[in-house]
Amino acid sequence: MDKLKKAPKVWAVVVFLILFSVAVTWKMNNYTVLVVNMALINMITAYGLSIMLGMCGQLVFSGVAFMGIGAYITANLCSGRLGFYLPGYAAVFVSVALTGLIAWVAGVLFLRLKNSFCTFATLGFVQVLYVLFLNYEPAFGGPKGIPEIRTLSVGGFVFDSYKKWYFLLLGVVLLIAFLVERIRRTNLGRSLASIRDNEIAAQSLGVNIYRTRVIAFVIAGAFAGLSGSLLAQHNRFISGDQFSFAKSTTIVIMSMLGGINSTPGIFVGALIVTFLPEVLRGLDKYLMLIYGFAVIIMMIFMPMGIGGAVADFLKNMRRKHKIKS
Amino acid sequence: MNFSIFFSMLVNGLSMGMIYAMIAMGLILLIRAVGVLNFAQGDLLMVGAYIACVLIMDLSLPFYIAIPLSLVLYALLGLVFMLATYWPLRKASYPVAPIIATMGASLVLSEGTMILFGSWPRIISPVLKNAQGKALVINLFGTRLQVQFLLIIIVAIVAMALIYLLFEKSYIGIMMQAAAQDKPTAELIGISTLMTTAVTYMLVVVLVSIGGYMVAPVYTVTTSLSSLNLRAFAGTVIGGFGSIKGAIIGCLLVGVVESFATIRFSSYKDAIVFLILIIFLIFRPQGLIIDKVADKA
Amino acid sequence: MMRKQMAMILTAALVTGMAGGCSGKDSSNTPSGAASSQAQEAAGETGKEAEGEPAGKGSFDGTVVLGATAPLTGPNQLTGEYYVNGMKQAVDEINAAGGILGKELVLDVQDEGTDQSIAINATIKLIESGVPAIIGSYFSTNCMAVLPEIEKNKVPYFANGSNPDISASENPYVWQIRVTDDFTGPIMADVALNELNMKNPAVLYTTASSTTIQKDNFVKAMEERGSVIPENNIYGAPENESNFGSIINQILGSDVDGLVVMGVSEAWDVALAQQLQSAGCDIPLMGSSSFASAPFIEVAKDAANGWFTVADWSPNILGQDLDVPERAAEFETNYESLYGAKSAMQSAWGYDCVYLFKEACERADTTEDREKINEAMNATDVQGANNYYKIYGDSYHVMSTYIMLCETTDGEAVPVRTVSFR
Repeated sequence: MDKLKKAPKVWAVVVFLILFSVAVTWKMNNYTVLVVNMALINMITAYGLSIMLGMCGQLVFSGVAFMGIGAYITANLCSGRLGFYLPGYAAVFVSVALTGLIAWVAGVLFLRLKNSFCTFATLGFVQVLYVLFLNYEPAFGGPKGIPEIRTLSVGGFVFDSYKKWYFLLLGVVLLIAFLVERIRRTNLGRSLASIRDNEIAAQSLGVNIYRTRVIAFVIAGAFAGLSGSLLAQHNRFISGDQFSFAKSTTIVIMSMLGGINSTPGIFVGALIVTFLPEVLRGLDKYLMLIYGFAVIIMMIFMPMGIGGAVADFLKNMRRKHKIKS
Repeated sequence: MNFSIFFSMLVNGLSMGMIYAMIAMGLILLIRAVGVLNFAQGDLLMVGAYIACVLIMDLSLPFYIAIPLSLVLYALLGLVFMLATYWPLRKASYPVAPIIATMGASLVLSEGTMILFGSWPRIISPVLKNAQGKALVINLFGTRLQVQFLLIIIVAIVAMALIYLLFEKSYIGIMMQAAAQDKPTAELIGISTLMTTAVTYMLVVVLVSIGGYMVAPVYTVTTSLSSLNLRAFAGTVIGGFGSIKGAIIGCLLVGVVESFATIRFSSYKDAIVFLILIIFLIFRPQGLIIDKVADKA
Repeated sequence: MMRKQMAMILTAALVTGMAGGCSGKDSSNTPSGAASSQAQEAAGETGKEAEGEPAGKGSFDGTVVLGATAPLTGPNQLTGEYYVNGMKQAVDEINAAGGILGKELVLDVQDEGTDQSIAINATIKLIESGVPAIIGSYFSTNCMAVLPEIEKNKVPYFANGSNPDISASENPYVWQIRVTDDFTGPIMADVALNELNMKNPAVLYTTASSTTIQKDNFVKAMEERGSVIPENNIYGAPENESNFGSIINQILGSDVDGLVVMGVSEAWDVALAQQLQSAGCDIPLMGSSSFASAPFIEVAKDAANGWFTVADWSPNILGQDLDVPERAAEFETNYESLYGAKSAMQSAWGYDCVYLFKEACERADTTEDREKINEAMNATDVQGANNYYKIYGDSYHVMSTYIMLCETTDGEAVPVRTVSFR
């Protein structure tokens, strides 16, 4: 029964993805694929946020900072700045591992704090790293950034076109989305949800709140590190202004728009936020204004984002159906 | 470093700290009243500076008309801001929604200003001028000091003291606190929460807008004034989230640290400010001053 | 219930809006579609200009679409407008004179927004639409960000950033038309030492890539000339800084005999100049290019007076007995009559790039073949409005020849002399 109910949803997603990929490969030019790729990269970080904000109810801004850390680690390893080149895939693993480690240290320190305090700590973290990225030359290239990063290649197969990247990134995003869905259904996910909904109850049920939150933070950080590492190898040039506080708010808005607790919702949300500036290029002067209004209106009418609204709608339909039959 | 430089840097830091403190005080009043962390606080300050700039420079209204008129406009701005970002969201199922809405409002305000006035900085004449219409400068302890810095400190203290008295000591203030703490009961005894929140928002916006007007002659009027917001956040947390006294002290600390950080690490000064924030959060999360009102946001 | 419905409508609107936008883009992205829409726009523009021109648009044998990226939104949109103005002026002039090889020249300007990922998108969009060349960003980080794409797609790219790393990467398709910062640094040092008599100046720079390199080269050049600048006389301030109070206090309180400033954005410059003036600064001041720009002087008013600048461009070259190239005076005269305001350096860059493209096309005898146009760029040897452009052997693809020393008095950045460094 349960399987049957879920099946159409899964199929809808699969069909959508196939159609989307066909469109990407056949219909779209490099430029459009590039925009999709950027959306996919941002999505990985947004999924990290969905674990922290959606499952755990804790607003954090640190995603962009970890994205930057991941990107700069990869940039250092793959641009010959340190006198050697690491293969791209190895750099991804190193970046994710190191970012996760840094996220663990940061999480141990920050997550002792609750709610807004923790939000502020992550905000400060983003600011500190942003200034360091922009100014500290030995590690981050300073204001000049790090150029000439090698593009990813796996065993002779070089990802030298945006379309090749698209399939790689789509694969990674699906993997991450699958992971997020898994986490939602594991003990960890349920503990996180219980912390979000009622901390005291969670504690009395034996959930180690601090540890659970740190684990979630490390996972979110590792996701962001992964997206940063891919970003560095995709763009082949990294500089600090990509990891500003403004970018963090974009990621937050992206996730909220799609629906912070909805895995397909975030996919759509990230696509919309990344595409909108490109679609509305003629209106570009008013774009950010429209965007601001859209966020306010969204929050008033559908705070759980597109995903939330669709889920509500489906639930309503089902209920009506039941009443009728 | 001799004393005169030390002194001038101190005044500079304190005056910037006062501006942060005005932002921070507004922030805390909103958190207490409605539990919303306002990310548009800096943009409101920026809009305040632009309003003053239009009234004084473009329309060249005399001072005694421009000041009351701008105060009225600030209050209206506050009312509109409340009606757009808080009132429809007050019963939102998702507590983060009103906070995200202020992020949206921040975009609307900064982009709207950019569209209306362009990206170019504007210059607003200082409040106190010398005979040539330049900023008034005085010699104090062997250093030349812009009087505007001192004026910022004085105006900020007066404005914050007035609002503090209004909230903590007056009947209206007690009414508002009651409404903030227990909405249903307050409604029951006849306090309109719509009225109290509206008044809170209006006062908060007036306060930060005055900050905007005061800082504009030094900073020039640009949309980047909104970035002061983040440093006010830092000051708020360092001071102990929720305590007005703590936030003011925290913001002054941020201003002074920022000023003196230029001695050795001028390009890293933001990093230093936020590093202090993080260190405080880790070692003294309760902040400098512990307050009775807990975190509501 | 009302709420629910509203939510659904919003979702639907967002999704369909996006879908519509996507499909719309697909069609407009085909080169012909983009070209035709742009052509109409440009035809309208030229129509105004070429009123008395009987040889007008009817006689063109097709169009050439030249791509360009410029900041049309965000904090830099004002200088972006100057940039586009300069390009449009050149395009109109060229079309009035019969176009390029008989074809009408059309400009396709894409917004590079506020961060480099948007700049990359804009550049790729242009490359995809099939433009024969691209006039790139005047921000070094944006230029650096698109370099890999330029190399991969083999399209001639006019980089207007001044970071020497742009051409040092030896990308054969990138042509750097501005004076690079490794040249500016030593020139500034010479001027500071010999003309302004600064033996022990303080240095204040924006912590952006080009100005940081300028600062490094300046400090190095000063050291080579025997004036070591101590570390604590060097101050950096981020691009969004607008309170210079503490830095100014320290500078004026120390025993320096001058201040050398490398600024990247006019807003930053205005705040600094204003606060220096308020603080009663009485030491000689020298600034980088942006301190001579017309918009800076316009906003900063008398705070701009007294600055010496080592500048790419000054619009105050008319009606004075100055030794400036005729081309420059001609450009400025036309600009002022066209737009009713003085030009900025961005206008001159944009203007020159269009002409460099035109001449390369004529040498290559093609308006389509990117490879041939790029090849033809090597033979550039021409006096532009802003500079004399030529390929020199000493640094790869850096085409500029001289820079101007200006002094701002009475609201005008008056050129003192040109400094040829090659």
